[in-house]
Amino acid sequence: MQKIVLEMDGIRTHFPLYRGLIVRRQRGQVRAVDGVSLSLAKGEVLGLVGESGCGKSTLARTIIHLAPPTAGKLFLHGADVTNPSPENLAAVRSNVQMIFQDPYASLDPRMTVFDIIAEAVLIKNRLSRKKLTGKVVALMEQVGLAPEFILKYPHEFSGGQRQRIAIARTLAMNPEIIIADEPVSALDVSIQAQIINLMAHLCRQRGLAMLFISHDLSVVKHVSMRIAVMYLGKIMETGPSEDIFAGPRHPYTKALLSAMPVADPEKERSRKRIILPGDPPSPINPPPGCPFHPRCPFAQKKCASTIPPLEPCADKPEQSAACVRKYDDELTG
Amino acid sequence: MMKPDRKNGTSLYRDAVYRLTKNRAAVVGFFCLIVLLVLSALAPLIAPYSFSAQDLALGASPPGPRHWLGTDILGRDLLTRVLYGGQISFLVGFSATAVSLVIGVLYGTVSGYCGGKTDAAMMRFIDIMYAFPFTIFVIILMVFFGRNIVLLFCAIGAVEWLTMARIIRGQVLTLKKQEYIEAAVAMGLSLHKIVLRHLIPNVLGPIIVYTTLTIPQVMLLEAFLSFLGLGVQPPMSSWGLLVKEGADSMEQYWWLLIFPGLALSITLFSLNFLGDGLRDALDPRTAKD
Amino acid sequence: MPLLSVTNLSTSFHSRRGTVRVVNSVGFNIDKGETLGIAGESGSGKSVLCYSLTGLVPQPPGTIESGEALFDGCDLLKCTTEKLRSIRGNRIGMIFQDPMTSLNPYLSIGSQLVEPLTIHRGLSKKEASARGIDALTEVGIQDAPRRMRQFPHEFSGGMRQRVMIAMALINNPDLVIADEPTTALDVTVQAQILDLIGALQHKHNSAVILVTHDLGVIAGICKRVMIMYAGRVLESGSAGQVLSRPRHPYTFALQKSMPAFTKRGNELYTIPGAPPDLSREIIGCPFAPRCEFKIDKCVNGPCQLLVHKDGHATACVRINDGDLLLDTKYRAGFTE
Repeated sequence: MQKIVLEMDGIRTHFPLYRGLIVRRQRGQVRAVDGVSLSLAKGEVLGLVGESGCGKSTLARTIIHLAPPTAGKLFLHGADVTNPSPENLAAVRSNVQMIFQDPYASLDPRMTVFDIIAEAVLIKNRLSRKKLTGKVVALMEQVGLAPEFILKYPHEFSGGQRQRIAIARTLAMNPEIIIADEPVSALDVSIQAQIINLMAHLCRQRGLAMLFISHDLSVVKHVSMRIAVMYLGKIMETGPSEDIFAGPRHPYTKALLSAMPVADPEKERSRKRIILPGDPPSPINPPPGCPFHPRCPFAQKKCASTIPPLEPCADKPEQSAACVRKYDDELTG
Repeated sequence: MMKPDRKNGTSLYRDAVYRLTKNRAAVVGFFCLIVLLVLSALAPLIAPYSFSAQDLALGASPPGPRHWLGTDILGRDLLTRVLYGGQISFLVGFSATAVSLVIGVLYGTVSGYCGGKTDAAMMRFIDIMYAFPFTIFVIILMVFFGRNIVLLFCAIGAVEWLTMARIIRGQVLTLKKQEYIEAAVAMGLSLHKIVLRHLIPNVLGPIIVYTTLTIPQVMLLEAFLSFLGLGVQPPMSSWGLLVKEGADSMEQYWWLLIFPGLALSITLFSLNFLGDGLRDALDPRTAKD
Repeated sequence: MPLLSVTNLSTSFHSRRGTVRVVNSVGFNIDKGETLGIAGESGSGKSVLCYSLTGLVPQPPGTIESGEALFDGCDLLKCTTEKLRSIRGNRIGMIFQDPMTSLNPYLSIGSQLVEPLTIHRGLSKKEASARGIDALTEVGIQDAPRRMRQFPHEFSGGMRQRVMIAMALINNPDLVIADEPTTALDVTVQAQILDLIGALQHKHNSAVILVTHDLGVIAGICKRVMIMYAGRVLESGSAGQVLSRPRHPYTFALQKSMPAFTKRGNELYTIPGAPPDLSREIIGCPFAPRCEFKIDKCVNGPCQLLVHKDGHATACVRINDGDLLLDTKYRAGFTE
């Protein structure tokens, strides 16, 4: 087992909802992340899958301290960094970096590529102008950008190239952990492959741990060693990538897999699809019991009252599922 | 294709200067403004007469070889008065706008960026200030501190920053949610760097547009105050005041309105063209290559 | 006779930087009740193609340079605006990509939904509202009478797309053009919506043109597929032909670069470079600069879509000349 670099223990991130203009009363809360425990080992890529609004982006923002957790603990190398002091925060932030979804929004339109990357370099070390330029050029080369683009502005680049700039900026901080929030979903398929290869290569080369967030199962499957499936702020199932794809133990994972379109008409016709009814419920009023039970084709009476814990399967200790029927043949078969 | 000096590196501002020089209207505006500024500044040296020298016998005379722009009712040379008036107008216009700019931008940025209760408190304060009648505010200031031209700048600046702060706050609120600002926070950039390097450059567009609108507004406000006897004291004058006086007698003495009005309009046009040029120049996305 | 027959359609946009040929001599037929998938990356001209057919290309800067689009004997590209308006929303329904912005937030769902009925059929408010309720029920929205009075913000993304589908289908159109109808939706909701489109199409026997960048979506519901790149059709044929045995290196490369076809840990196949600049004249095959099989004649020679005996058409010169066979063995690596 590799060394654990990042650990989340029962992270909850709730946003209060207020009513009233002058006297503000709390009316409820959005339970964006509701008790997530995950760990990330050195050099590991953990895929986090879920639909929009399931809290995966909030979880990412909580890890990089953009949204403070309401409860739970966050550990970096075993040290508690849930509520770091301002000095620690800087250290934590340079260690955990994020790649954002939209390469059109994550780069300041008024800065040149040089400024963008140099800004990140200068946070960690003061360098002379000459050394700084050398470092920026080196980073650009690492992500496959020609150095002659150094003085161009982000709007002069295509989506894929912009994501490369964002990756170079991330690498400039020399982080150990990268949180990638849907890094390729805004890109075309042919460009997607380039960026995925680049990220995988950099992770291997530098031994980075990565939390790879996506709604696209085929992408997650390709890059991740382990996968966690999130629904309504909770982790439904987690385990090694192959096991999850071969034998999902949670009905939601099963439905997600079956909804994933496959570019093969013959396979597409022959396979059985689970069409889930309705939309995911609102995280303001999550249903009682298992959050998935109102849409679950395998739901039973007890699902509405008990929240199943995320526990390892007896026959497969690597894989955990939060479902009362995880050993049921009807579901697993 | 734009090709600024790329060997020595470039910055937003260096690129902006390059782009600005490519905008003909902005360059002409800039040039006119400089000419008017220099002429006003050199008024004591180049003005043909003293600004208070009266020639009652002459009275109001139309433009002619001795008085190029004519004289007013008291026989004072209009060219001299326009040149001296420019001093006051530019001084009031620029310094009051600068005061309002500094307060407004900082206040608005902090308010918008901090958000939450700080924002609410800061915005309520602005609402209260808005409700305060401007004239009374100035009169109170004058009563306490006496008539003073510097005070006039402050009074006007102290009123004009309110709108600026509101505009900036709105912009910052939308900017704050942009991923590149979040990325900067996540990198561990300090607050003042985020404000100076990311927020303010990205609100420059509206700041510049609003500034070019504020300068003429301030010039006219000064005329209003002077008219009430709260601003510039006769025999000193300003463009605003000259225009006002000219308007009163425009049926008989058209030149009293036309020439100060022309000076004021040229300034305003130049400011607008320059402002538009600056806004475009500071946005790399509008670069015309 | 096909329901819609498009020949040699070209659409250009004029800008300061020159003329951009966004759609370049595109032709296709679609029969009643058929589903045609148009696939391509962003900038391939697939959306502009649809806009050209429905007269929604802003002119200027756009111009339809040439072509003919016969829809039931009427040329959509040349008929009068009034005529086109009477066809649009009546005999041709449209579903747009973003359900969040394609509904007016200030009007109730009901009033937007029945608009095509009152405009084209001249129904009274009461009749129209009754039909509207039926249409909402048909697309699987429960409690339709109450939902009719609600506003778009009270609907989730999937629900709004259902409303858009109901709106597109409310006049029983002969043809539905769906421009990336599921791109903004989650996978599970996407599955619902695709299912729904398929079921309704079957029921009403409408023809559907489905525009998407996702080959997986096409494999699910389309009978025929057309692959577009740089404004041209590079390949077309039945879904089975194009997706399982591609005859154009572009389709082939696109499939190979999909993560589903590569084992984890292995490098994904990547297509080098970027799509061409359409403001320049392209001689030869537009994909040639990025193609792993390109030879001289690809770059210099003419490039025409050629229909083979089995109905599978490709614009690849080498395949048409018979000196290239694409090896589809990479699909063996594909695991369910």
